[in-house]
Parts: sequence; structure tokens; C-alpha cells
Amino acid sequence: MKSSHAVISFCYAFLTGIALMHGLRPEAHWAPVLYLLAVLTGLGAVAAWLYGRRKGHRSTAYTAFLLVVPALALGMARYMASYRQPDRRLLMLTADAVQASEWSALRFDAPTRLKLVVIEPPREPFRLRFVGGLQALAPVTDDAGTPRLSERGQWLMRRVPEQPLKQQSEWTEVSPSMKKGDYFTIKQPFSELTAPVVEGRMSGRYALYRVAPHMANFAAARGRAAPVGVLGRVVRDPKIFDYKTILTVTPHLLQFRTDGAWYPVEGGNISVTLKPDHALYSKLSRTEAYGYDVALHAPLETYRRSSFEGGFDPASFYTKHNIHGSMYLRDFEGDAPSVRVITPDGASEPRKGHAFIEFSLNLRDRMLKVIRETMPYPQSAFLGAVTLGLRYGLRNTRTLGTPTPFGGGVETKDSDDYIFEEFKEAGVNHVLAVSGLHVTIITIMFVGLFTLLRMPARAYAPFLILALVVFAVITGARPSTLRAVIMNSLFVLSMAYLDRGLKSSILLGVPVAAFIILFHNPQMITDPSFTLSFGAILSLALLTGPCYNLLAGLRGDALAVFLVYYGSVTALVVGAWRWMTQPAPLTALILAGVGLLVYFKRYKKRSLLPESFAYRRLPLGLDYLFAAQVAIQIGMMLPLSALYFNRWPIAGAYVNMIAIPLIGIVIQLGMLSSLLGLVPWIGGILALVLGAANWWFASFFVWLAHVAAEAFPYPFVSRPTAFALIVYYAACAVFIGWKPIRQMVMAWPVKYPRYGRTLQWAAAITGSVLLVAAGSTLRPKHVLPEPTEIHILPVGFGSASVVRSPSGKLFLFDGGYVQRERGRINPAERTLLPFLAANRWLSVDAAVLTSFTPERLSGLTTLLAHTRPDAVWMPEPAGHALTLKDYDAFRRELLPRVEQFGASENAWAREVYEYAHGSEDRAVRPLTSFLGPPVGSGDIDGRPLSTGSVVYEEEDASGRWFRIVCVRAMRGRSGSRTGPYAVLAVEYAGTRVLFLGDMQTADMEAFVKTAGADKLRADVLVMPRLEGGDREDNRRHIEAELELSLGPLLKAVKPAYAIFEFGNPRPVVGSTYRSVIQRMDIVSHYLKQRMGNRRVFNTDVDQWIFIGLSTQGARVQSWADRGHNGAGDESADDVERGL
Amino acid sequence: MQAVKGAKALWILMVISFVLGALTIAFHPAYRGALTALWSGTPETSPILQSNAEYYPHVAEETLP
Repeated sequence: MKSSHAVISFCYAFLTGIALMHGLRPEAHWAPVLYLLAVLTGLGAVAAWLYGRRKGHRSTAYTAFLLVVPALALGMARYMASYRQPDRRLLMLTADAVQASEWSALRFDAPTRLKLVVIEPPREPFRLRFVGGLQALAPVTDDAGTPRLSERGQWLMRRVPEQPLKQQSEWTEVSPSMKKGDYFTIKQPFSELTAPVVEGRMSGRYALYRVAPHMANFAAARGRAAPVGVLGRVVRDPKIFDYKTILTVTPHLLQFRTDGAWYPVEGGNISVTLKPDHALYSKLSRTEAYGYDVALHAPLETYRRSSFEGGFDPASFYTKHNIHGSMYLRDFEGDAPSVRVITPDGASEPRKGHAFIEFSLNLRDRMLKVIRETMPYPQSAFLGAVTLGLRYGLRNTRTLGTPTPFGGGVETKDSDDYIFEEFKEAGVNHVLAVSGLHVTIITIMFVGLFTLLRMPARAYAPFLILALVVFAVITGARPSTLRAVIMNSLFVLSMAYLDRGLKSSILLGVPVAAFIILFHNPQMITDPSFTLSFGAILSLALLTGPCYNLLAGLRGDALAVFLVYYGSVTALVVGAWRWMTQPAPLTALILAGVGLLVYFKRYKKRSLLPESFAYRRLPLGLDYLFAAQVAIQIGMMLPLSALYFNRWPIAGAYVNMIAIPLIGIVIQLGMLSSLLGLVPWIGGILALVLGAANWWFASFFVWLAHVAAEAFPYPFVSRPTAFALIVYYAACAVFIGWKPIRQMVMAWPVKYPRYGRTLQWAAAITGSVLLVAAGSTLRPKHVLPEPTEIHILPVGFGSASVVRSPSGKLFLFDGGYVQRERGRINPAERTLLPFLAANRWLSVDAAVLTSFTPERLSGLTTLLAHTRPDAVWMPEPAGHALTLKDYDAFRRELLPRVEQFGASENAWAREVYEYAHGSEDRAVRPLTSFLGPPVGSGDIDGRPLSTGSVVYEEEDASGRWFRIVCVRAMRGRSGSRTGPYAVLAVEYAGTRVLFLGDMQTADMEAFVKTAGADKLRADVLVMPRLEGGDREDNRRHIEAELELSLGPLLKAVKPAYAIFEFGNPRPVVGSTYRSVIQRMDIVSHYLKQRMGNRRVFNTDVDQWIFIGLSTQGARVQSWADRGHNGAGDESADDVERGL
Repeated sequence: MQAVKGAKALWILMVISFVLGALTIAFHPAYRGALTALWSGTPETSPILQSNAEYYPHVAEETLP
């Protein structure tokens, strides 16, 4: 055993410790104990090692064994210390054990918040309040009120008032029903404490903690945050998009109220966003902003949690990157400026950042300048992203727009032609995130350059490693880049000084790189950039060999049959993806592939084709490249892409065969030209010549992605379960070690004559059972215990619901609003389809469009492309409008009294027309292309929703009926944005949910009078957005209007619950958004007064809302009810109240 | 040995790129304009630079005359 094996064992034990804690998630206060354990066992290991050496035990296996326990403990401690800043225990509180001397010692340098944890519950209830004093901090300011920095960059602070003010907390009620571990957060801060006041007879034991002043404990939930003051420093290179800039700021001091006290902050960053209309945008949207000291004044909000089960969790994502809140800077007249850049006393300009990072970023800007001068846009944006990591500059870059033979008609094509989107669809977006591939290309280029200059490896190795570190810094030091820089540096060092090969470097480099990255930030263990990067390198290292061995046996007839099979599968993927996803054809294709492999393995007859026609003889290293691609698909893309993104970029398996060698050329030429361009005069000419050559390669790459995005599907797939993933990777492990495993199993009958055969059968049966069990976990899920499930999804100012019948039939109601302006947001891609994929509900029976308003219609085409329902139901007579190609005729049909409407109604009529019939500006498939004749040329039935239409009905085994019916088809009204719409009801066993669609108050009276009592009654009412058009009404007027319209409706329907689908209305309704929000508040308040607070839900606050229908009635619950409401109980609001 | 092969490949890539780049400058009007602008000392008139006016403009602010 080599000494490197001891290092490898140590690193993997450390990783295991982190993984264990990630699964168990114990309390953070165990971290110091584990640190102590790591130190003690480490010392023990050293002692045992020294003792062993004296006794002659020199084996490295012994050393490795000794290192495992300390490494495990270290990993566990690091993880626990990272996921929550531990609070500091001040004292134990019992009825008689706390002495006055202990309280008098409780003085703090700054205002401190307290937490009381129950260790032993009391025997009888009592209450207590903390008393003491409060002395706040305030910055020293100049004459203009700007906070001052010392010459050394310290914020100048003073204490106010000079003597602490008296402070007391609210009463804390402690009851015997409490359990060990329950806690109270004391809202009021203290800078000194005296003995608490107790009412009642105190018993039990309690621990008093000081709440850690970490940023995670300061930010408030979205929408509840008031402006706070922050004094801090920009600690990262700004992320500059073409429509906004994001700064990462480390706060040092924080103030909750203007003229209030300041809190010192220990740990955690915030992100700060500015838009181009901000007065200081040009000063802060540049690299020089890195290192600036800033005074900020804006609302500080937490990132939202995932809005539904399985959805993307921004809070968790940013926490992993140590960002615990966000600020959006806007200046308001008469208010304090939202940002001021502070210059230290005696200095003429703001502070700069770390010298080495400043140097690296300055170098990047100079190289970027060369790219701007030698490569035209948009290729320059692509080149800047792949060579300098400037992928934010590419976000809104449209592609070259070259026509392709495929013409954009592929089933799952659903986005505009942005380079960023197309790269995702083509499976080549990995080139935009600087990773191991880029670092390896740069390493190869520099090794080649130094070799051309005839420098020995020992001489250039330090320079090369320095260049790689600079490259990592300028590209943002992402985990994948760091991993590759560490591994390549180890490789260069071992090649130059130890004369070791690549394989030994990989085996050592992978765990060492993982150790270094995770030691710095253990939360990265589940971050996609970490797992995908390590997944890729491990797949390459472990799976390429077995894949190559399998393919290398193909020659003559076998290779020809393989090529035919591969071509057929490709043709089916491109031409008939939907058919491929059916279980029967997919199973047949896989079995055919496996059958062919087995057959040719045993195929001994003479081949008709020459033996020289062999896989091994593929030119230009294509044999290895293809095997590596297969390895990456098996080891990383198939399982991890489905796990993280719910999607498979099928094109990647094909396109990367060209894209990976091509990106090698693009990066090397880009890097060479931008470095040459730094040389005065002649450098500029040489850079232009190389840039001109690279223009061809860069253009070809962008075009290739464009073609692939149009040719290949980019489907949503079911998310695998943890069990299925474990079994999958176990199968991969068997594949990797197939030869020794096979030999071992075949030897069992000889080794164990009595039960060897039985063992073999047991192994085969166990393997089969595990595979079947893993497969069975991929069935569609039952999310709720009730037979009928209705899910109202949070899609902002729009509607999107999923209904599941007792027999498992799925129905979609509306598709949400697609925002296509800067920062494109498609709720179908972002929320609806991931929700369906997370529950493995990808086969939908029908879609229902309840009206043609953009907030219901625009996401529908994406949904249709991916879910392919049998029918789309649309309200009549609006459905008829689809048959009209003439815009004016369409508008008159859709909005019968359109001539009375304002500009916004005409704008949305145009938008609806474009979604229905397509336009060049909106490069999405028109709705008509999905629908069959007579409306379009597609294959989905377009069905009219008129009063009484039954969308679906079924009877369960007990004779209970499930129905979706159109209660009323309405014509719509003038004076609002509403055209024709449908009122739907979902019924099961006498329980009913009514969807009011786009009903406005003016329609309610008529609806109540004409619908009939049996059609009105419902347990749950899904409310319309009563937006009221352009009118600016006062509160009393709106309430009076509601009394006459909504009041009678509520009396007739008698709902137990009401649900609003609401969000930011600005992208949809434009300038009238304030009146829409005001009206929504009034309507919501009106309902809460009559039904009770907990009976009225809103997707904006409650997120995902689910309704279970059973014989017991309707049960409504929200994602927020399950504790996923974004902010914790310790928010800025609470602290502000305390002060 | 690997390093020598890599150096040879890089050399070939550079030679091909210089030839291809020279031909592109000769026939592509934007590149020809860029060379002219560079030669005449007025880089701000380069059509290539102008096409990048909206792409990271802060870099241009520092460096353009």
C-alpha cells in the first residue's frame, strides 16, 4: 500500500462524515464536541503511529486505518458548524441555581438577542420576563450624515446613550406541556442582564443562549421587510448582466430603523441588485466595485423557500453559497440614498479588494477588451463566457438566427432563440459554466506553449499552476473550476517532480480536491456544480474503460449492425420522441440493444464484412471520445440531470462528440488572441488575425447548438427516488468491476461446494428484485391521502392547477403567464412541469383553458408540447376565434366590445393572438399548431366549453362520481380585460370546488341569479383576480361594490374556503398594477372578515395550495402550513418590534 | 512525449489559424474594417467594436480614447 492511499482514505472518511451529517442533521451545538473528538483521535492516531513505528509496524494500511476515525469526526464537525451558526450558551436557569453574580457577569459589547431552551419541562405553568439594560451602537458620521471609515478601513462607531437604558422583555409563558428542546426567542435585545422576574412557581431547567448575530437571523420574509441600513463591503466581483448588476456584500453592521441602533454582524453575506436606472449604476456595475465599502439602505429580504414539493429552493441554494438575504436598491425622492460608496478618512478614493484578486480581475477586463475588439457580437458574448467565465453577459443574447433544415418544429421546443436557452436544449450549456473541461484545455495549451519554448516541466510547473489559479479567480472560483485546478495542479506537480502518470493523479486528485472544497464549505456536498463536476470526472475515470472494452469488441458485421441500431435509435429520438417514451417500445429497444450485445459477444462465425472494419480503428481518437461520452451519459447525465433538473438534454449525447473538440479550439484560440492582444501594437494585429480565425469556430459552435436545439427534444422526465439512484449506481459499480465480480461468483460452487449454487441463485434473485423494486418506485405518486387531489400552483399573477381523479387521470387547468421581457420567466417550465415531473405525472389526459387572458394562456403551449393531452377544452365562442387568421376578426370575436376598451386591452388582444397564431417576435409554437383540423394541423382535439359541458366523469368502485363540468360559459364584459371565460366545477362524492375563472364583480349578480342553487353550492371557491381594469377606485367604493356582488355570491355558494391565485401583477397589467394590488388587498380583507383568516388562502403567501376531496368533505392545506413559508420566526420585523 | 505531441498540435492549430484569419480579414468586410481602424489608430471606428457597444460597455469606457 502506497502512502498516497493513506491520504485517499483520510479524504474519503472526511467525505463520509459530511455525508452522514447531511443525512442526519443533528443540532449544531454538537460541533465543538466533534471537533474535540477529531483532535483527540488525531492525537491518538499520531501516538499509535509513533508507537507502531517503534514496534516495527510500518504498514501504510495501519496508518490509513488510524486516520479514518479523526477524519470522520472532522467531516462531521465541519458540516455541523457550517449549516447553522451555533448560538452561545450563557447559563443554566433553574429555580434556585442561578446566583446574582452570574447575572452581573452578563454584559455584552453590543445589543444581543436571547433564546431560552427547555431542558427539563416545568411541573406547573409559570411565566418570566428578562430585565436588564440596552446600550446601542451608532456610526460616527460626517457633516453630510455619511458613515465614516477609519484610515485602516474600520467603521467608526460610538455608544448611545452613554449609560444603558432600562430594558425588559415581554412575558414568556412556560407550560408543563412543553418538551425538551422547545425554545423561545426573546424579541427584545439586551446589552446587560439582571435576574429575571418570575410569576408563579418556577420549576424545571432551562438553558439561556445568546442568538448568533449571523445574517441568517436578520433578514425578513419577502413583502414584510422594511428598509434597513447596512454598512459593509463588496467582497466579490460584481455579476454584470445586460439589464442588472448583482453585488455580493459582507455586512459588518446593520440597522433596523432609521435613527435606531446598529447591530454588529458576524458571518453571512447578502446579494444586492441594481438596475440600470439607478444613479450609481455605472459606478457599481464594473469590476472596480470589488472591494468598495458601502452604506446601503433598502428592504432586506430572505430568499424564498421552494414553493412546492420538489421545486427549486432558492433559500437553500444561496445558503450553500453563504448568502442569506437580498436587497434591491431603488432611490426614492426625499428618502436616504439606497447606496453610498464610502472613502476612508484621509484617502482620495474607495478601498480596493485583495491585491491578487484585483490583479486577476484587471487582467480579465483587459482580455475582455481584446475580445470586444476582435470578435463581433454575439460571438463575442459566447467567447467571453467560455474563456473568461462571463456567462451573465450572455443571458439575453439572441442566437445567430441561421435558418436550419429543421425549422423549429420539434415537439418539445418551447423557448425563444436565446443562446443560453439553446445551449441548454442542445446539452452543451456545460461549456458556459467554466469547469474541469476548460481548466484541462487551458492546462494543455500552456503545457504546449511552454514545450514549444523548450522549457523543462520542472521550470514551468510553478508558472502553470499560478496561471491556473488566476484563471480560477477570474472565472469566479466555482467548485467545478476549483476541483479541476486542484487536480490539474496535482497532475502537473506529480508529472514534473514525481514522474507519475495521469491515472494515479486522478485517483489521488479527486478525493484531495473534494476534501479541500468541502473543508472550506461542507454545504457544497449536494450542490449541482460540485456533484456534476465530480460525477463527470469519476465517470470518465471509472466508466470509460469498461465502456471502451465493450465497444472495442465490435468489428465487421457486429459493428455494422451496431451502427444501424444506433442510427435507428437516433432517428426515433428525433422523429418520434413521444413514441419512444412509451414503456413497450422503450423496453423493446433496450432489450434489442442488450440482445445484440450478447449475441455478438458469442458470435463466432466468420464476418461478411472485413475484420479491419472495427471500432478500435476509428480515426482521430474518436473511439475514446465516443466511449467517454457513453461513460458520462451513464455515470452523470442520465441519473443526475433527471435528479437536479427533471430533464434530459438528449442532444448532448450526440452534439458533444463535435462540441468538446470544438470548444478546445475555441478556448485555446480565444485565450491566445486575448493574451496576444495585451502586447502593444503588433499584439493587436496578431489578436485580430487569430480572432478572425476563431470567428469561424465560434460561429460554428453557436450554429451547431441552434441546429441541435431544433432537431432534438428536450423532455421533462420523472425525478428518480433515492432508492432507485442507489440501485442504479450499484448496478454501475457491478458493471465497472464486472470481471472480478463474475470470477468471484463463478468460483462460489468450487469454494463452497454445499451452498455455492444456492448463493449464486440468491445473488441473481437479489439483483433482479432490487432492480424491479427500484423500477417500481418510479410509479406516479399519490401526493394526498384523499382519492381526488387538486393542486393550485404558485405561478405569480396567473393561474395553473392540476386535478387528479380517483383513478389517476390528470387534468391541467390553465398554464400561467410567460414573462418574455428581460429575465424571461416561464411558469410552465419553472413550476408546473417540474411539479408534474417530481410526482412522476408526465402523462396528462386533458388540458382546460378557462379563458384567453395571457395569464392563463401563455404557458399552455409549453405544457402541451411536453404533456401531449388528448384534448384541449376552451370556452366558446372564444375557441372559434382560433379559426380566424385575420387579426381584426380574431379580436372582434375574442373581445366583442373591444372598441370601448383602452390601450391595454388592445395590447393583450395582440399578445393572445400571437400565442394563438404565432409571430416572428414570439418564437414559440402557436396554439393552433397543436390542435387538429379544422383549427390547425396538430393532433390534439380542440373541444368547446359551453354551459353544461362535461370535461370528464368517472364512477369509483363504491359508486361515487367524480366530475369536471363547465357550470357556466360567460361572454365577458367591457371595461375590463376579460373576454369569454368558463366557470368550472370539480366534484367528488358530493364535495365541490368551484373555479370562477375571470369573473368580474359585474358578472356575479347575473351568475347568482341564473346558475341555480345546485350549481352554486361549493366547499371551496377558487377566486378570480378582481382587478377592476384601469379604474382608480377608493376603498369605500370597492367595498360597496363587493357588498352588492361578492356578498350575494358568498351567501349562495357558502364556501368553507376561498383561494386566490395572485402574484406581482406588473408584468401582466403594466402601469395599473398598484390599483390591482390595492383591490386585491380589499377583496382579501373582505373575505377574511366573513370567513376567518385561516379559511382564505393566497398563492402569493401560502405558495402551493392543495385540496383533497373525499367522502369526509374538502380538506385545504398549503405548503406554508407545512412550515415552508420562507422566513423563520427570527426576522427583522421581530427585532424592530423589540427595539 | 504527451507534451511534445500537444505542442505539435498547438503549433499546427496556430499556423492554420493565422492563415484562416488572414483570409477572413481579406474577405470579411467587418474584419477588414477592424484592421483599417486599428492601422489608422482609430479603433473606435471598428465595426467589430461597434457591434459590441452594449456588451460590457464599462470595459470600453476605461480603454477607448
